[in-house]
Amino acid sequence: MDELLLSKIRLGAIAELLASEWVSFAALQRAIDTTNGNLGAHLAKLVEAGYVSEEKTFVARRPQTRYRLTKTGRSAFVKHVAEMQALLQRAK
Amino acid sequence: MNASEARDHLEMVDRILARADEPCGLSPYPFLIWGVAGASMNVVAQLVYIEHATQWLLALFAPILIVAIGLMIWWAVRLPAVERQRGLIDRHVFSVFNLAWIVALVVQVGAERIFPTWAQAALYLLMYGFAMVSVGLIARSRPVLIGGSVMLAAIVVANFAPDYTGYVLALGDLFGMAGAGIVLWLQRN
Repeated sequence: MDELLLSKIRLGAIAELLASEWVSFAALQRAIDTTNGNLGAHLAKLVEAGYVSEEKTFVARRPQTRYRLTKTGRSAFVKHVAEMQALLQRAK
Repeated sequence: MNASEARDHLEMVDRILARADEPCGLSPYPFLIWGVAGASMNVVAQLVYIEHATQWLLALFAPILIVAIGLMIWWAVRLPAVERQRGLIDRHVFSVFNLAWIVALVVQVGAERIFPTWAQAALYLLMYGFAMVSVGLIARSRPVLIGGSVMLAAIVVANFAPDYTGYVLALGDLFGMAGAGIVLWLQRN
């Protein structure tokens, strides 16, 4: 199992990013329903691992941080989900 | 991680991915812009064809195209962040539309000698009609599906109205494409 994706918040963030091109921090926070600081810390770990790339832009003159899933992140997610499914199969 | 946690995590992933399958809502602007542009060009061509206007009026095609492209660029630049954050289906929808637009443009600009005026106009309707039916089915959007069908039907009707081909095709653009845009705009607002 991927240690990084054992956290439900990080796994949720990756799943949210899987379905979109770029997702803003605010949108991720709304989707995952957690605090700014908590989500920021989890995203920082994903960025550090190379699972997610981060970009700071301006939208309507306001700073916005947005995130995108990398190929490494996508592969890790697919592998992790397959391992969880295998675990469930074994438990049956 | 135990089986119960794995089930809980997988259920969460399923919920997120199922939600992402729902399109975020098609923007009405490309439909309005290209519907009105296509209709305008067909009306101009018809006026020239029935000799209610001189050939030079065909020179309006270039400014109409430039205005339409300019409006598309303006729309893309001003596109709200929520529309930029597209899901998988929306990405596919945009690809289908861009492809239809490129093919229609290649035919209109690059194959002028092969396809006479009405054939070009009909191909424009055919490409967008096909794209709209496809998009309507993928995005589960009834206005777009019906709009695309109207565009395809306009080609068949135009076939039986040789003296008014331009007007019929223009009506197809207007009711099919721009009409779908208006319905999407009303739904959004």
